[in-house]
Amino acid sequence: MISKTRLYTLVSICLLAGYTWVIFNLVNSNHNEGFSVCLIKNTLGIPCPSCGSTRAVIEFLKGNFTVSIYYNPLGIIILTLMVVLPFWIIADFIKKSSTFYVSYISIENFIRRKKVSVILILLLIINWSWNIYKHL
Amino acid sequence: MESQRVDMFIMANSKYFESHQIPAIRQRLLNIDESKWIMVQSLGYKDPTTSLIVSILAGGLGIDRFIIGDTGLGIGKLLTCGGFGIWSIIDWFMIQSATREKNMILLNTAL
Repeated sequence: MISKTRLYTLVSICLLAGYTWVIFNLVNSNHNEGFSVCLIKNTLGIPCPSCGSTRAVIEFLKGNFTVSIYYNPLGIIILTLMVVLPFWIIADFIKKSSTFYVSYISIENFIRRKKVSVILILLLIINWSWNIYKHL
Repeated sequence: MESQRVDMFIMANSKYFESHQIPAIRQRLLNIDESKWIMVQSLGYKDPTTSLIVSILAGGLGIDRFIIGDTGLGIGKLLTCGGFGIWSIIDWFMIQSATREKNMILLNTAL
């Protein structure tokens, strides 16, 4: 079980990195074609399950919802997390409560159930095949 | 417990734990009751080498984190292309000690 402070630091670092990355891409949206940080895409040449989610987030912010879903449906999940989590963490920090930590543990236990995990893995594989088919 | 059996256990399983934890584990095993012995021996420890191999091959998908039981962190890695590729590289060096920590937690639950 991950400790509470570690989880909060990790999520904060991820959020900071995520926001920096999105802002960087929004500013450079015209001339970043062919540039990728993805390890799998750079080594194997095929897109990974979450490739295209940056483009999906950016298209969603611009209001092109169908293009966003075409790039990667996971982008919407990431965007939701990026919007919700900062407020949740700050609220926890102010109230000195641990609602986010408790929810994190219970969601983790929910996903570990065999039926749930099999369904999620299947969905992910479908999404991945779609990514490869689209040549993202 | 008899020291001979504890030493046998330590010799067979020392690779699953951090080296600095071994003396403490030995001391605790010496103090435990005979009835807990079968529990301690039958726990499924995760091999750090296996998780390192998985981390190198499929770290970008977060599978290494899923294997050692950090489901939430695994999803985090999966959704971000292995943490923009940086986290997966960091995990090549972190995953072995993370696995050993998980084994220690597992042993603590049995003792």
